[in-house]
Amino acid sequence: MSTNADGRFARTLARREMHRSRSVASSVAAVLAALAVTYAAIELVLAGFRLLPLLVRPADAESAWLTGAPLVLAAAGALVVLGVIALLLAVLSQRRPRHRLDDARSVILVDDDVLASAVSRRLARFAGVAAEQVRTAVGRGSLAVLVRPTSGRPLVQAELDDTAAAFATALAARPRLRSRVTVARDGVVAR
Amino acid sequence: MTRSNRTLNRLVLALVGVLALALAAALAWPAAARAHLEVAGLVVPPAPRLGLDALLDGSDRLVVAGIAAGGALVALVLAVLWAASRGRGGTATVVDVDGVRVDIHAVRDVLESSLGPTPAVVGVGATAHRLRGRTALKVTVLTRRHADLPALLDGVRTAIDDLDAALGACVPVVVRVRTGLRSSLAREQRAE
Repeated sequence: MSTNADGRFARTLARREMHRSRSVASSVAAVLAALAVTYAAIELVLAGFRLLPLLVRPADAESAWLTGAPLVLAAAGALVVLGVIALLLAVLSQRRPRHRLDDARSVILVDDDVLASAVSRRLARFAGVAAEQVRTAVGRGSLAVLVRPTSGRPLVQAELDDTAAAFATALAARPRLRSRVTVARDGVVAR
Repeated sequence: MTRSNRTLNRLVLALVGVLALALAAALAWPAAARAHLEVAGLVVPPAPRLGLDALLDGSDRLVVAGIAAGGALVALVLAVLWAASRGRGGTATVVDVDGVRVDIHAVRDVLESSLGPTPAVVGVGATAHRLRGRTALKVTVLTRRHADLPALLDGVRTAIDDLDAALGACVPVVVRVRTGLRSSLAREQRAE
């Protein structure tokens, strides 16, 4: 992928994989809206042919609306909730918890839990502790690592900081990951 | 990596959201207006009716019913077409040169044989998609817990090079490294 067109296409692919498509949400919203319109139409058709309503006659629904019946207000509340959810789904970025790694040939995306697990492994091996003694949280541009030392074997904070920073730099994630290592005060009994 | 238009997805969601909020405001309006007048100690006038009674009892009632039925049919057809048109773009052909087609199963086999010896890999999947007139590969690599990520990435890059050599073409590739149920069940990677 060396040409500009290839680069643009790669960026498009990466962007599409880094964000949710909202296809399911938009399909559900469209079908729900269509079902609501269909229900209203069925009541109008039944009333037009002077048949019994499915749930409520349009004239009775109008009366309930004008008097502010509790059921109408509950329906309004439900619509507010649905409307706000739909608007939030449309407006928010819907970014997936992944990071793109620099690569000249391919678009490489790594899930944040895989990154966290790999960082934990690296620091655990460096510090000589079990992998379960290292906890890593991956944010959009940060790596927060908590290391619980084995009792009687103190850890050097600066060395852990350097190791984590070197590992994050070597991964070449986008956006860049800044690491922060914390050594817990309480230790773990060696197994 | 489907071909769904994401801007249109957002527009449909925004439209449905705005319509739902507008309908909610319309439903609550008479009750809110009356409450406002009562709090101010003013006389509440009788609410004006929409005239649904007259419309559905008059001579035009069948026309109204027909318009309602037609509108509902259009809305249902549009919604079903919309839902059915999401998520398309998958293809089985990765490369088609002079009538020689390479199927996605062959690509999967190449990737599996390349990545199989990598200790951190639990499974490999691949799908092909047509997007903007081009074919792109999506490769999913399932890893063990506490995988050696740099070694895994080296293995992935080698596998993509092997694939390029096997295909004789450079197909755009998206690799996703993830965990899953199989990762939880598999043994975690130990030190080599």
